[in-house]
Amino acid sequence: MGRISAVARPKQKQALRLRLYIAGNAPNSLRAIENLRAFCADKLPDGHELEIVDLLKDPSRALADGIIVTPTLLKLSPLPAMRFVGNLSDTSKLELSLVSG
Amino acid sequence: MARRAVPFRELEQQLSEAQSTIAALLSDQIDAVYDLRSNTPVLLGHAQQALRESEERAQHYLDSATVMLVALDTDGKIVLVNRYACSVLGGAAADLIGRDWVRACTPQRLWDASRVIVRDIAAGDISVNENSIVTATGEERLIEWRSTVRRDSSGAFDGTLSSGIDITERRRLEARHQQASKMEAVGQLASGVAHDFNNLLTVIIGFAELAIVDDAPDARHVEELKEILSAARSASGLTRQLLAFSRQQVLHAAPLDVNELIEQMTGMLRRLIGEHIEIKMSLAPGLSLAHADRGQLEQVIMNLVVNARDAMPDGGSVTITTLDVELDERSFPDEAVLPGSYVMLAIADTGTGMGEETHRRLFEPFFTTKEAGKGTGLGLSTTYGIVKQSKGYIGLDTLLGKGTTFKVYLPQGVPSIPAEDEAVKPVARLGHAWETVLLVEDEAAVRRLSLRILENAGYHVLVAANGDEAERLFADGMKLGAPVDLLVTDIIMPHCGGPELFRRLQTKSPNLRVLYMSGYTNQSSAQQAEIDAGLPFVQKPFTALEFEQRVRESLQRR
Repeated sequence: MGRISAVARPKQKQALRLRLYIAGNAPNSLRAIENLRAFCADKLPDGHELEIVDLLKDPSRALADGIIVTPTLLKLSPLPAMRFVGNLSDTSKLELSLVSG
Repeated sequence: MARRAVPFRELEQQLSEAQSTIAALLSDQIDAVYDLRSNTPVLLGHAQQALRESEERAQHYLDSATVMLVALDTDGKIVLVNRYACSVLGGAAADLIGRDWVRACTPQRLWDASRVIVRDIAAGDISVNENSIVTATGEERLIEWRSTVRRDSSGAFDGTLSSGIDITERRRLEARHQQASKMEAVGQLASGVAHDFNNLLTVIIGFAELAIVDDAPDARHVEELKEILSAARSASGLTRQLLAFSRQQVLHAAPLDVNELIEQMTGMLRRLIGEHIEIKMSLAPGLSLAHADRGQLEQVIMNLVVNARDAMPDGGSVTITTLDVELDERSFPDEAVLPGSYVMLAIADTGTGMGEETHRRLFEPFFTTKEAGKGTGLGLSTTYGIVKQSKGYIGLDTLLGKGTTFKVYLPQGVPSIPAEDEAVKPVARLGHAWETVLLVEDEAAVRRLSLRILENAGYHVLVAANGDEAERLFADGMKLGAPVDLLVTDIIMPHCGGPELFRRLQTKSPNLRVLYMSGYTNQSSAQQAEIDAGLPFVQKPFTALEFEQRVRESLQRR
């Protein structure tokens, strides 16, 4: 797995790429996964790419990606890159940034 | 180096992200923050929960352990005690934690010693020790402890942690085992002494009898000789008891109606115990037959009844009960029991009962609570020996002041078909004998006595001190046309025992008959089986008449 910068490289045809950082089975991490999946199924019917990174298993990626708390969701593309902290229970912010953005 | 210009939009976004991070933190929506220097996650709420769970798990492990776990702090106060330890100590953890271990949980008489032990454990001087604890009910239990020193993260002494196993029962069983070994050793010693003693008594009794017969016309020494005989017979009674205790006398076990035996003995028992004690019977109708030696069981009943009498100096009652019972492996906690059907014979008194020390040493030979001269201390050990040799068991219930019940369990016997037993036909008058007897005995004095008795009776006697000599004499007799009619032999001899010798000679002369002599039965089970099978046998010490009768009976067997 290569080093991933917080800011994704620009691409011509940019699909929605997301990465969720969690801490094992911790309650807010589980809630974040659930909330994000529901959101994606409901609001992103055209498809997206989602990677889930468990920082308890691979803590070095926190350093690499500048993650200081979990759960954190990174929008890698299309630019601009964005991060959402917390259990993603507030989907209005997600909708504003991911669907309309 | 030129500083990179940050576009306003990017700053605005970073600020917005920081605000949302703070909001998430404040609304308890995050699980962990990351220490970016050490690159390790620092878990938050989840961590506390995980820690709680881990503590609960640890407590569960502590509680499910079947050893006592006790941790003390630097002052010797209890900081941890698991459920098992609580159950042994008989208190709740909440009541024990914070208390001084030595004062709360060890017997007062051991406080000083216990403090020394706690100090030595703390100093790392001892890791394994045994110490008594006292339970909430005041009972003492012996615990084997394994201890370690606890240290805090800086390495400083933080107290001790000990795990303990309750070894009270184990120690008790070990003590019983030691007691059983001691009984066994005393038994061996007793049987060895009794064996030699029997040989001596055989000679004393035999020659005294011969002297009486020889001196009959001139009655000068007859009275003295009778005194010698009487004393020797008493001594022979003692050696029989010793042999019974050491389980080395010959038993003639046969199916036996215990109820009938008791009924026959009732008159004698009443005389034995006197009028101030009542005898009650509770005999099970249709009781199974027991497999036991009649004479020996009489001895057992007498011993137990006499014991009951002596426990009731002010009167009371003795109840004799019989019952068919089934025993399984666990019927006696201290003994492996052969499961099966047994006849139980219980003898209960309403007497003084006995304390633990008496109870423990009860079956030990020469142990007696009776005053000097009143008992030999052999009664119950004899009883024990007879019961064990009969493949039975003996148990007792006793309570100081409440009386004692002895319960004897004898294996049940299968009824035998009554057979015409020539050996038991009494020989009223002994005619003059003419047969040839080969006498084999390694004890010179017994050999001389037996020779004398046989020759007096008119037999032609060949004498050998061992099996080899006997075989030579036997072969010579065959050659000379004077074959041996009867082999009279000791059972136990060096090199070649009696039964082995008989087998060898029998191959040469199938009509040869045999009479075994022995003072005890340290023989193999095969030899015992032959005696059980009813081959003629005479037990030392024997009287001249008894010996002569046995010889005659043996010759008459076909």
